[in-house]
Amino acid sequence: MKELVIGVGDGGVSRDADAVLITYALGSCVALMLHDPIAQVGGMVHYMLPESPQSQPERDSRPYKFADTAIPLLLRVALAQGADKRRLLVFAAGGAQVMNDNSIFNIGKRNCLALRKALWKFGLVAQAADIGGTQVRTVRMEVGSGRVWLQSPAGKRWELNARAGLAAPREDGTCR
Amino acid sequence: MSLNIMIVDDSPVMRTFLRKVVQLTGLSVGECCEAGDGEAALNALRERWMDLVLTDINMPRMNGEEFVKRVVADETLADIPVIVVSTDSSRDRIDRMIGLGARGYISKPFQPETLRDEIERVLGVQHVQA
Amino acid sequence: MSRHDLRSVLAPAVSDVLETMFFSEILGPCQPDPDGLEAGVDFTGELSGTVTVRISEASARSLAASFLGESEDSLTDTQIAQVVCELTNMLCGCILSKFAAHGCFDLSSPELHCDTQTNSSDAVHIQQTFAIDRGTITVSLASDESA
Repeated sequence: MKELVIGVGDGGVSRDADAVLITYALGSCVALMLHDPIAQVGGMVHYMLPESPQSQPERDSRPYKFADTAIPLLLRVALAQGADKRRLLVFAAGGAQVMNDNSIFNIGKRNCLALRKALWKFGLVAQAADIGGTQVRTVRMEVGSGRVWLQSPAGKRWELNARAGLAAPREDGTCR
Repeated sequence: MSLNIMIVDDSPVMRTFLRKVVQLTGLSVGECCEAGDGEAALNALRERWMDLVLTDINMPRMNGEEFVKRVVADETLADIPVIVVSTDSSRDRIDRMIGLGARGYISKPFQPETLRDEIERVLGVQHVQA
Repeated sequence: MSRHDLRSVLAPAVSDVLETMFFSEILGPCQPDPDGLEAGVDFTGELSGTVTVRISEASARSLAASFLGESEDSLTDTQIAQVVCELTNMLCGCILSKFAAHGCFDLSSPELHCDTQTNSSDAVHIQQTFAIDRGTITVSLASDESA
């Protein structure tokens, strides 16, 4: 299998059924994944912040860095690659409360809220999500099958199953 | 087969929100009608069959409690499933509405997925993906 | 029923409503803003009174856009006002549900206030203001029940 690495603040879409999209070390960042099982199109974004700055050049130079620009862009690219919105399966992971981030600007929680806001705006709903908490995650999505796997820093590996629920993180960082 | 769904709430924006949740289910929706109170909803139900009704409780003219009582008491309407969507999450109210014949109950605030799942549970359908 | 009891449920109720249906959050306590949109809901039941919400105009527009899943510049003033009313309705219900889990309450239809309401001489009155995205939200509860 061909591994395509999605970097921090980056995103991409593939139509290669042999490809695996991977993004590493999701702390407060969120990875959103889209998959069309019929067209075999898979996309992934690893965004860092909920809202893009007012400055247009900054928004344009790193659109995948911010949830409000990253998610519509990923959707557009996936549809342009042949995905059908009605068939799209949506997965999400990340948004953890990282150590020492007890400030009122809990980025992980804000990234989770931005995710839910965007999904609502575009009429999408997550099939499965593993968000919030305090755990750092690495995520892999197989473009051919649409299966999503998570891994912890300690090496524990688990599959993201459908209807695992989209939990809103609590104040203490745990999932609702 | 398309389903007809009625949304009863005195807040126009809440009706818009609920309409969006219905779209999330992926169900084939024929008609999605709206009413601002129980009396308007009851009149509309007598004109056109609905497969599901979502109703608030606190509404002017006829509240949701009276509305559910009338629907259940009318043998031509009694088979229509009603889901209550209300700010009142008290155990007393939930038990009362289910006791009156409501098939489901969702308390505000709620995540869109929660109502979507309740709709699917009451209708006995599953959100279908290709 | 005491001010302390009611005050302790206010912030969790505001957080719950904003996070769940408006995809937003409280940023912390702050000073009230006298301007903005204001709506009120009367309630009766185990206790009776009024919940009032005042929210900065920019915040109201932002929350309305989130609630309806639309862009801010596509919203009408009427839609924004209706969302503020529904927000007030939900906050009232959530506060009362957290305070009295077993009692039933009846709520009036929420109404937008043309002018800022002055505090009544009700027995219990609590008010808290929170910073939110683009401005502030002030939630007040006035009840005619004594402590």
